[in-house]
Amino acid sequence: MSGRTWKEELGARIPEDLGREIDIFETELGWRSQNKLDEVLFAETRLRRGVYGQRYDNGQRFDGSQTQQLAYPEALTKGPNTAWHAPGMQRIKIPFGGLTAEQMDVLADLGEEVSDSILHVTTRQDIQLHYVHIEDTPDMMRRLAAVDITTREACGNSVRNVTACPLAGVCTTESFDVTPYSRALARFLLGHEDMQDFGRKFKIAFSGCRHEACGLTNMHDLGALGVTRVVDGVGERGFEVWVGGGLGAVPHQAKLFDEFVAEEELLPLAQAMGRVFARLGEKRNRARARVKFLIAKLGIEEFKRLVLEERQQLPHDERWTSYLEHLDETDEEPLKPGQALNGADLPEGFEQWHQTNVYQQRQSGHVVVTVSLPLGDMTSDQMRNLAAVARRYVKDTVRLTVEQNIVLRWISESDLPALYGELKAIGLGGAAAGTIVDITACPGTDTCKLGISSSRGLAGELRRRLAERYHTLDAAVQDLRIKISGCFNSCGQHHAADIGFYGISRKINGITVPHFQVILGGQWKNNAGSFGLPMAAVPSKNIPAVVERLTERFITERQQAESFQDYFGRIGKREVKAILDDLAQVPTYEEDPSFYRDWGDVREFTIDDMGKGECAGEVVPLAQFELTAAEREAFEAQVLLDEGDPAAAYRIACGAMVQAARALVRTQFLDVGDDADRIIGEFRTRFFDTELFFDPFAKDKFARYLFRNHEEPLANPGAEDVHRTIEEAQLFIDGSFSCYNRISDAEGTPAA
Amino acid sequence: MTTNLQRVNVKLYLEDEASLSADIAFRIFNRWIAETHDEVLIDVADYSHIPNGPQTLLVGHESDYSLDSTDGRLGFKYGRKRPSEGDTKQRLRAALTAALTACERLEGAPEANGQVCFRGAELQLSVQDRLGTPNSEQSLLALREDLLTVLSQVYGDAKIELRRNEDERQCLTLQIQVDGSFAVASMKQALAA
Repeated sequence: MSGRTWKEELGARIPEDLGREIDIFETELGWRSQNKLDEVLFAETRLRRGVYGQRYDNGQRFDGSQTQQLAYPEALTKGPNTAWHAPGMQRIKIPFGGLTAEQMDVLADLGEEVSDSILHVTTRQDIQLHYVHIEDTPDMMRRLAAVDITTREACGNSVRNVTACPLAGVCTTESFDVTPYSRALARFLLGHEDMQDFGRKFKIAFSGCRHEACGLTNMHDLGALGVTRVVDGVGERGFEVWVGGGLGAVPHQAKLFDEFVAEEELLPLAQAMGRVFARLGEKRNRARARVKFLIAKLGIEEFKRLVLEERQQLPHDERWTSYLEHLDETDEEPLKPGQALNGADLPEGFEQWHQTNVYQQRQSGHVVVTVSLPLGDMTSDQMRNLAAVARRYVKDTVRLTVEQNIVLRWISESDLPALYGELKAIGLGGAAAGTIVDITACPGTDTCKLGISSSRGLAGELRRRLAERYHTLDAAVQDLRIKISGCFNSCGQHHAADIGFYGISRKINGITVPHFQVILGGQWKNNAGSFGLPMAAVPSKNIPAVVERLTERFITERQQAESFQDYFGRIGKREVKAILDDLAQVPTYEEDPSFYRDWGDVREFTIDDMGKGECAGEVVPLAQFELTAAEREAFEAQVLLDEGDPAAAYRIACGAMVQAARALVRTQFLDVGDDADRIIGEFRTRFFDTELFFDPFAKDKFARYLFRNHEEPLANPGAEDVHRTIEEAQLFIDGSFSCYNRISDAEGTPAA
Repeated sequence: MTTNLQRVNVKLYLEDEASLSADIAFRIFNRWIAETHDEVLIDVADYSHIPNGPQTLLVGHESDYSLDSTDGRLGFKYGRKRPSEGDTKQRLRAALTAALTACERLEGAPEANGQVCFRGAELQLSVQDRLGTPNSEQSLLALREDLLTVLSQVYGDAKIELRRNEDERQCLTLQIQVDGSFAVASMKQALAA
């Protein structure tokens, strides 16, 4: 047993610059442990290295009846209200999702040694390890650095992981392989001095096809879509550049920046964009600090003018184009020649797996195999064994996907039966990749500090139920995508799903009940071509019934090859609401206590509260009626928008916010009246200035939606503006419910 | 040789794998969080959707506890995470005691209706520290004497067989087989003597 350190052991295998970075971090960590470094400063330092906080790191946990203190051995913190010894999450950036077998081995070892033996693939091609102690992070970073992985800028106000289509280079419909460009941009921007002063994060994605989903370029701060053109008989590569897209609480469709940015201009353009964002982007109000808000404020034309002006002033950097001479560095080779299936006997389950998990490459005889990971999770042993499988069948051509799976590229088709057998043997032979069973979910209440409802618990339950009857489902249902977020922040990408859900809570007779908002109308294809809108708040326990009912109605009533989106567009939102109405009802605790627990949890949130609820009988507070009415109005706005009346929809959505504000104000000042100016003035004084409305995490964000829409109403709102306003209205109303619930809890009165 | 044994894991196997489901373990572990005051237990994670892994994990500050099927067999695993103190024998004894104590608690858990019983005659001991204790014959050699001393305290004169997993990719993992039949309560008692 050695007394050596990882630093000594790995020595020169750690790139010098990364090694220095990690040494500095370790020093800062030491200072903080001795209280010689401010906790806020240290928090930003660790976040920029992907070292996150995790649920319960404030030292408190609700055990089902009361909040318990977690008695960590020291009072030391690693950030505001974040205990030093509390386990945290480590995000590990994997540019374009590309992994080698050696990297997989190291990730597997780390999962086992510093985490809980589980590796989680995220919706942005990262790997996350949970329950990591802060003191284990420097050596973990060294071990990653030794295999060319960095955690730098995996979080914080920085350029996050640069993602790319996992089929790039082997896709049958791409214009060209975007892999070398994504790698070059990721490397160029990593630690770049122009990218260090953002008010918020900046996300970049690459895609080679317009009509597929793989790159999701429409929902990124910068989306680069590979395109070609012919000029004077010569073919040129370039990128259709989209900017200002994003999900978050209120999704924004990206705006077209330029139809064709020549390949040699891509890096300098991104640099210029970063400089403009750093200079003009919002810094104080985090809720409006993403580049999408800057673009909305300036307008796309002015933003473009500023970026191009900045581009002209940039000092030349040879890295802008030097990589173009080595584009073939990321070219891949097969380990084995491509050969068709040879007619040998096929193992049981092979055909079903082949149907959903195998993609024919454009290179004849080779295929891409999707390794389906339930909820994006795999064990360290599985990762290690998959690395061994990869070594036997391919040459380091493994990628993570934004659907939380892993793909093995360049598999010779004739190897498929043997490969399937090996994957099955390590528990990774699951079929139904990219189907309704393959549900995406963010960590939610399992580990995320912001989670409201259990996205993973729900995803697990839906997956189990749908897998059982997958083969009885109509093909049109099998192909649907379900995506779930534990809160409004969209890490589960719920806006871009056929059926999306995000977590909220409601109180019934003073007892908290986990709910999800049902989102319909989103589109996964066309690089997340459209975003859905909330239909109804449904208790978590009824969500499986929601899925069943929506899909059955769709199959029963659709006309010919009508899509899911088209069907629900045709029947209209009022009808959708009617379909879900009874499922939105919550039985009393006595009738069915299971509604008062979330999926995947045995804790009843509300044993204490239930006592109060029983004392209050069935009294429904006025605020609950009024907030529910505001929610109905927000829904009406959606209907009007669908009916082609954006002006009326906008008016109603704004009115719904005022109505919700009024409901809150009337809890303190019953005679506030109906005048919007007065309501908002009173709301500002009573709920905003006092910070009563402020959500622990969203802070003042949703209140500002109310103020902005009231103070700066849009004269001629377009459909996209109204879509966004409806989202804002729903979030403000959800925030009002939460605010009222917090006040009720504090006062011991029955809540909404 | 100076030793610094860290991250010791101990696994015991269930006599009847059907006796403890992930769901029941989830309930038991949640209760333990509320009832345990001599160490910091934080949360329970459900990984029952993944085959052959930690099915249900009780996350603690110093140690984790799990219903585990990583090696394809269901059992209970204790894993020390924070630095251990004392000499090698003390560290081994501490890990074994913690594992046996938890197993005893599981056997008596009302949620499992007295159905849970662990097979004391087989243990898996692993050291999840590839730098400090690599998976090698040398590591086993360095550990062997202390380990056998501790195991003899538990098993008396029974014949003990140690088998190292020779897969170099794995952390040092020893399968320990003992002739005879042993109950966790008596093993724990013997260790405390």
